[in-house]
Amino acid sequence: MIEVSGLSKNYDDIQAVDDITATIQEGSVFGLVGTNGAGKSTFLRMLCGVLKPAKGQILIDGEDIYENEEAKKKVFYISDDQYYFANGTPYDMKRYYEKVYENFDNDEFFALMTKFGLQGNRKINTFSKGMKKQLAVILGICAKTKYLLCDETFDGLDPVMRQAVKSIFIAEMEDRGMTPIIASHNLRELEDICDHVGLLHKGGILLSKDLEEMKLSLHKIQCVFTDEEGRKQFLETVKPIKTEQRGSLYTLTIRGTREDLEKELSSVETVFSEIIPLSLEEIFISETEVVGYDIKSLIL
Amino acid sequence: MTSRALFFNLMREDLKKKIWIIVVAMITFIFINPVHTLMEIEGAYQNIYLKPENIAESMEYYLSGGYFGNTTLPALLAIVLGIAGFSFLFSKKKVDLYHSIPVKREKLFFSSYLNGILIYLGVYIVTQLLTIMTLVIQGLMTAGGWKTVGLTFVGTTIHFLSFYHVTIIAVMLTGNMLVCMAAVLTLLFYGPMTCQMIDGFFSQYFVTYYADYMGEKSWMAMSLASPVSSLIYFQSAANGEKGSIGLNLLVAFLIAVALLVVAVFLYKKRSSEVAGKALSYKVAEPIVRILVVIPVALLGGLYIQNMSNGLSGLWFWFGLLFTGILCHVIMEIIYRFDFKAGLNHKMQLAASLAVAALIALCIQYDWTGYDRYIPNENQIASAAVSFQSIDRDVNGYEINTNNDGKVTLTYVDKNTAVLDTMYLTDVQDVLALAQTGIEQLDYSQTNNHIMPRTIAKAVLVRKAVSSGNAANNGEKNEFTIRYRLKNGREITRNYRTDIDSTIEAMSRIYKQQEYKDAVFALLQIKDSGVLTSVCGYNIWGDKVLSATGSDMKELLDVYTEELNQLTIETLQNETPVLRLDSMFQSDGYEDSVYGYYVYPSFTKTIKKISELGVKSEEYSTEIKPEDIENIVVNDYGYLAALDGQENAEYNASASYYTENGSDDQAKIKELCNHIVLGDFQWSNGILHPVEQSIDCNIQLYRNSGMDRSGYGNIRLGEVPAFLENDLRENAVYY
Repeated sequence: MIEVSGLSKNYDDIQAVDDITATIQEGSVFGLVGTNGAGKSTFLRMLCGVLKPAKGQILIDGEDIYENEEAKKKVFYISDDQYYFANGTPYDMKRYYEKVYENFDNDEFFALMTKFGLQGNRKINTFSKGMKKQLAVILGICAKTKYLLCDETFDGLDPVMRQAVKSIFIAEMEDRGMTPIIASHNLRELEDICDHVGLLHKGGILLSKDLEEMKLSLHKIQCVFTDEEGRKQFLETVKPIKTEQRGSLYTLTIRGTREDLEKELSSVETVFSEIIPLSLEEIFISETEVVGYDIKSLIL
Repeated sequence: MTSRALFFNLMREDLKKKIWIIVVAMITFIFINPVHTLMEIEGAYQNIYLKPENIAESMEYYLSGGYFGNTTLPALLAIVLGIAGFSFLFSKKKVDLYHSIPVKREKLFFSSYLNGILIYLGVYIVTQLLTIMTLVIQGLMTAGGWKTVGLTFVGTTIHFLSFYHVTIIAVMLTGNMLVCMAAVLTLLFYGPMTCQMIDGFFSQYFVTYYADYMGEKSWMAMSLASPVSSLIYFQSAANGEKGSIGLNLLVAFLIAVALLVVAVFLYKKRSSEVAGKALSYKVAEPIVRILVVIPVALLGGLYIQNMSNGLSGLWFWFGLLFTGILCHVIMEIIYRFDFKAGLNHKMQLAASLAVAALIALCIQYDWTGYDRYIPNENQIASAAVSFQSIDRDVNGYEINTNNDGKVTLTYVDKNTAVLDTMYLTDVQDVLALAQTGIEQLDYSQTNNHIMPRTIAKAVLVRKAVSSGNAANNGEKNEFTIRYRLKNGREITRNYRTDIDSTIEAMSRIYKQQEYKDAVFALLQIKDSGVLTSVCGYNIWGDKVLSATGSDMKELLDVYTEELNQLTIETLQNETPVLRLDSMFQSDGYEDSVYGYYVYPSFTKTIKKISELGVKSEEYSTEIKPEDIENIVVNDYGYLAALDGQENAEYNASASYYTENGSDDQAKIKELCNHIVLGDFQWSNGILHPVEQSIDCNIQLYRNSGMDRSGYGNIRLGEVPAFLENDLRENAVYY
């Protein structure tokens, strides 16, 4: 488990991370969302021990990470712009990492290189941006660390590769309980893989919730009421957090379980009603509008 | 994997990235040392002036610390290795990799650090072995050579570490390659630059300042200023020129260790996010800027003042402000990488300039009383005095024993040698000299360019300078006094006075044996076994004597006995008849201990010389008119000074030929009464004042088939009227 308490970091006059407290459970995928400059990279760099927090504490399985070799052995950091040795090849990088990470899996490295179609003795400076990202992911997975920190890793991958990487992550999670922490500015990217999502804005966490919990407790209903009386009564009962109307069609965002909602719907006469799933983006928009933020201006 | 295995793996991976350094260094070192040594060996065998038995000795130089290939190249390699090993800290990408892996910073540091040392050792040892093999194969490797190899290795390694650690500190303090290189240069040269600045200011504004460049203590103090000056000290000491190698290496080693501790500390404290910034520690920004702006402003003022031909000190202040502001602006731009940031921190700029101005004023107007310093007699443990105006032909020497056990002589600055080795305990006359020197302090004679308070004063200063030059045609008596105080401090001052006011005190000091032992190196050298012969030369430059073996010893014994009795009065009243040059071998060449004169009152010496077969007419100093073919007199400003027109440009000369008849013959006869022959006169010229602006070239008749000529000067105030008239008649003005 990664425990972060009161974490702050500033660069001169810029407050990059401001008093973040969060817990990342083992075996779950934590998604870190935010716009450019929100503090995602800074947060991850502190998590992997590159940066020293100005305030607060980061515990990796109960141990402080900064300058702690034992704690760092559990973490692999894939930067948004990964460094490779000048004129180095994937094999050169493998040889370096396998000396540093004692559990590095040589066999899996070769298998993944083949799967991704990358040549091990080709100079990395001839790779495309996407290929470099793929290599970074391969090295990160083969390091066999407990936590894998990915900073905008998916952003440079094509859709096929993205799916491939996601499936590898899932396999690693199932096999050995790997915990990925993925930073991105793209909610749609994270939707089908993350278990828990945190929204960063101007260095602070706006929102941090389980995705499943969010989806189970927030629903969208589209309906057409038969009469005005029924409509009013329904709205008073369910108290939607958001109401949109187009003619007779009402689109309501309502907190509550699906069973409760179905029960309420059955007590009112409607011409048409349907409970439709919310996307992660819609959930975030709804949740953050509640706290007064115009989330659309914050997220792509 | 164990910690040790990981560490060695890290070293191996790091070494792979430094292969290019190893290759370039090896090629450079091989060319500069074994290859160049081979070239020098070939050149030595072809040098007809170098004896074969001296070739091995001369080749030892290429094993020594004095050879730049052995010391300077490793220092440069240290800078390259320091930057290459830690420049990853300038890149955010690289920092993310190296600081995210499960390796402590100390391990990362030392894996790269130790590789730098291993690369140096590998390259240096291999190339040194090749050089040694080259010499061994040629049969030129001496016992002393092996000792030199060991000493050079130790000295070079210690200085390599100094340069290496300073460079690493520069990397730790900065976050950008360009700024890092500027930081390396600043750290290496700040100390020497500041010393030069202080020296420049003191030379410019303190009349009594004595620039003790060659003094042992000054030399040693300079070596502490930076690894660069320490290396120069080591090279000089290795060449046998000056310095104590042991002390230098010990101090350099301790400083290198301290620098390493600082480097490690800085790395541990360095934030990863400073990659790409100018400086790593924000708190260092104002400190570095102020410490650089102040000396740069002062140096700028001095430099621009010296560039100008103006009288007032205005150019100094212009230079101070201009360079100070420019330096501040440039540094701010470098700090922020933003041109618009140049005028940030105006208050700090103003404070820096104010401090620089205060320092400048303090020195220019001598608020500390530097020039007027004179200690109390009870504060003084001993003193030394060096008179630069007398015995000028005598040089300073140091007796050394080289690694082969052979005794050698090396030149040293005479002034420095005298001040270092003289210990006068009776200091009353010394203080009297100093008091006279202070009373006669004359700032109008110097180029101190202090800014006058008003334009009127500027005009007065100009007049004082020009009238001062005109009024004082006499030579000044220049002397240096060193006080060794009881509290351990040494204070040295330089004075210039007229000769008459100080001659009595000089005379008493001259009689002291401590004075003679320090000034006349021959007194120590004659029994050292290094001399091979003594040659005697007369006033016309003819060699009239050559003594070796027991003759040489006996001659030197009687001569030095009479030298110890020499007085100022003898120097004033007598003209030397002979000059003795004592010969010795130096690096395969013949050299001499020069400038020891035999005076007519040295009766025992003259008797000995006669016993060795030298006739009295061979060393006569008399100029007989009947022997003279012609005298040509040239005027180099005499008429201009007489007429008060120092800037006049003209040519004037007068020639007198015996064959021209009785008129010229009479004039030649008259001139002979007033001429002092130049060759032996210069050494104590101040005691025999002459007209400096008139030269007489004397051509004598053929003597024993050889042309003989000489030059001389006319005694002060004895220029015959006919000569002045003839010069005026012949003068051509432009």
